[in-house]
Amino acid sequence: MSLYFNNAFSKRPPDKVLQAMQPFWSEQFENPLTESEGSERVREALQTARLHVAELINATPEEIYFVSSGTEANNWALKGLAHAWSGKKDHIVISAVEHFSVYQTAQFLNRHGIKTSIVSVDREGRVDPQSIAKKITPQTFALSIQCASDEIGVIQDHTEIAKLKSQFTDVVFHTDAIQFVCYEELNLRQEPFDLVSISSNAIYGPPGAAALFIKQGTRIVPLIHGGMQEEGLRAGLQPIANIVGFGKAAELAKGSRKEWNKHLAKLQTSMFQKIENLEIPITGSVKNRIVDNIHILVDVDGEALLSLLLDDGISASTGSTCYQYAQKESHVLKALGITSEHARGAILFTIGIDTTQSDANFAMDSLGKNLKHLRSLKP
Amino acid sequence: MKDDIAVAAVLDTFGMLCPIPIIKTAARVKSMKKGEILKVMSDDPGILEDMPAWCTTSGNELVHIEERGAEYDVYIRKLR
Repeated sequence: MSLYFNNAFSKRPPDKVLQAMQPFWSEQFENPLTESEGSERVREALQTARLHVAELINATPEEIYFVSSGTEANNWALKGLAHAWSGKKDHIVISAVEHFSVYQTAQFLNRHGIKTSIVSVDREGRVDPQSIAKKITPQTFALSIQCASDEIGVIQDHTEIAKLKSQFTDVVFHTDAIQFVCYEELNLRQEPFDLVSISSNAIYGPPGAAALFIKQGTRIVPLIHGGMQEEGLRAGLQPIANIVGFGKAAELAKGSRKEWNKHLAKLQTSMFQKIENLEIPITGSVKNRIVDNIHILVDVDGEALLSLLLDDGISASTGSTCYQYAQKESHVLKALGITSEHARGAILFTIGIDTTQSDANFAMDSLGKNLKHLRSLKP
Repeated sequence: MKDDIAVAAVLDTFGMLCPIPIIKTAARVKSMKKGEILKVMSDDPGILEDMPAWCTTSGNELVHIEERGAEYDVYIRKLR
């Protein structure tokens, strides 16, 4: 038996997504920039995907630019703006719990003369929108505050953050909504973000496709120069099959996310109840949280517990994959005031639309059993 | 001079390098009416050479080029 609790890292595309992609691996292979009947069909497929992705966030298709990954979208947002504002302004604002791809891009830009202010979070992992406002200076050209964390699942007050735009009209507002839009609604008609990153594999599409929403009129320099793809803003032949899958996944998510949210919220609540009974603290806000995220801090070694869970057929993680490989303390946990000693007990389960109540019960029983065993070994 | 030009459409190619602004200009001009003026915004100095050349070969009129620091506004009248 194998139970998958790593949905934050990649979600299994359903059959409908795979079926939509299939023709674009074989007979519909043509380059959309050429002129033929086949390429016309490919162009139509790209446009349909663009429309579905746009509809997922209440944008227009003309504002959707396909890229290869959420990481690329986040890199493009910050580096593209830094180039656009070069010689004019030199300051950005991010939060202390951003994804690695924002956090490291800010560090990279720092080496190239862009100053970064990092807004701290409270013990629940939330940013106070007013503390963002306080960090903005006349030199600020951009801010990047996520809608929700990939690691601890905490949802930021994106509505209030977007409202700051009316006070700082010449600052470009970017949000990483990659983990958010699968189960929650982001309405860009009401929340005036200028740039938004979203990714296919975070909404049950295939990896290898993502998008950056660029509000009309926002000036950004391409990250990749070359051909005319994506209106000349992102060169390189698009991975058509992946984008078609992304579009189909966006269409399914738009139609089903309320139902998915309800199903996952029920599972999450039941898992939290069992976790509470085991006297394990939950990381970050429980109230403002994506419904798939169960991040906890156990009082034993997290890696040891993961191995025992794996022996029971349960795939989970210790949190961010980037840090898991580096064997380093997560900057997100540090931002919440969690000591490196406690951070070693980090365990993350992320459930998905295929997770059943019996899967969740089994995982929690295994957690309880293995935790008891490891606790018994403690001196 | 730029205030006297009645612009029918604007194409912002900021950040793009030639020939991309030229290709986009050609596509945009296609959907315009004869006599209408397109304003192309660019920050690529290459446009100073490439746009006049394109206007000559495509048979359209280069009305004016306005330099604004490191940016250029190019005005083109569709003739064909």
